[in-house]
Amino acid sequence: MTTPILPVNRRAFLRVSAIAGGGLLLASVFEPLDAVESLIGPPRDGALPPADDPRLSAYISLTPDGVVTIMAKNPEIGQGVKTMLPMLIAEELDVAWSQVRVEQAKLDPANFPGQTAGGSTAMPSNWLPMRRVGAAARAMLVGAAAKQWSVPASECTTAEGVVHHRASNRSLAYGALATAAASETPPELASVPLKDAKDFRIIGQRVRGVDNQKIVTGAPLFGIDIVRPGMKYATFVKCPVYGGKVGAANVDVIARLPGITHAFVVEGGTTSTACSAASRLLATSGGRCKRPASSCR
Amino acid sequence: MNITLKVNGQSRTVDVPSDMPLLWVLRDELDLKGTKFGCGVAQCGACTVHVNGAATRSCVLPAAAVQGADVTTIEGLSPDGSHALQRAWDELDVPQCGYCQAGQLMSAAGLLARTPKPTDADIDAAMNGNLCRCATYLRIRQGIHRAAELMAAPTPSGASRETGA
Repeated sequence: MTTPILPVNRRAFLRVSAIAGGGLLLASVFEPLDAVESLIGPPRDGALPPADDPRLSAYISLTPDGVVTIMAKNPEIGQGVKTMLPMLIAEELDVAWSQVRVEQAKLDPANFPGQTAGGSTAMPSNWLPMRRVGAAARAMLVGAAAKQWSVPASECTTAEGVVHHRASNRSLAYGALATAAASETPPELASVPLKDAKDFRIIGQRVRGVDNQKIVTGAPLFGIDIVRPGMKYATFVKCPVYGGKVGAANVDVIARLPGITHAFVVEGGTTSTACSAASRLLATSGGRCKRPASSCR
Repeated sequence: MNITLKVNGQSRTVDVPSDMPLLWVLRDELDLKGTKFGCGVAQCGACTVHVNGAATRSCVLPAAAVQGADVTTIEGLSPDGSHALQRAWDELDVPQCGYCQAGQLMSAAGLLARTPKPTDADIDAAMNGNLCRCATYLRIRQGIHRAAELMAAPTPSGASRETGA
């Protein structure tokens, strides 16, 4: 398998779109520079990419009822990244953590860069990119409020999901601004202003793991808990000796067992394997707990 | 064969091979995914449930052996996630990846039912068959002590807990 090489000429930019039912959908995507320029180079009368653009990958959705959904892009394997990365976005978005719902992003490496776990790199490598996504969304919400009030955006402040204009004592919740904010021009990610560390309200605070409740109540959360229509399970017997080959495998016998759809020998690599697939796991005559009677040497 | 058992207080009947382990009866036949497959040979504790009140490894317990039994899984530990252990686990962020925690909680619940004020030694003895690849052992021990405290405390109306963050 070859590793896809990302184009050298690329730059981060933001895409934004209204979502069905009103709301703001904000994405940070990396695309080849020519694609970027074809989108943002010539003035296009504020044309926005369509919401159903498959390349659009949302980090934040704000709905008019005030719910902030933040996508956690990295795989959670117990290191806490599903909680931590959304905290970075929420900090700069300037919402209360209690307003935030976190969802796990699908595997979508074209739109979510670096969906990997390993090497303890998620926090350093996402420290600025995630914060910039939050800050950009905040800037667009402020821009929408400023427009509505006909005041300079620089006079507006935010706190806990609300834009304030102190001079005129006016406030608007993000939820009420979400649809208007979707028409704002996204700021350049590289230069969007970020909070000073002394103003952090979420970063540096202890928050509970976002999946704690699912974990302690046994709610489905893991790959093994997922069932799809027509899904089959595969199980295999691996040669216990390095470099061993399958001598004989009773695949015919296995294939006749109730529920078994396929039984076959896999050759290749350094170790051969006998495999079977079952429409029901335990129809494999004991399934994972009993090995099919194959032999190898 | 037909097996009738009580699962989390409800009577259930399944038609399964007599040697199907209880784990798969729960997961595949009754769609209770909280109980986890770990090793399949009763060495890791991820599949722990209560059978007639005793913490038991479900991955090696044949369906035929639970005919008429009373089984409690993580889904039945409390109706709403409010068991003292569940509250303590959340409060102290005991889980990391969480995969082993259903088994940890069921073993811990078995311990607290027998020994409401366990010592560290009691905890280590009761829990040493439950492995955790994230190595959350110290917080598990802390969580059990905290749950014992919560259970001993007079229960004010504040037994409900905030959800979300």
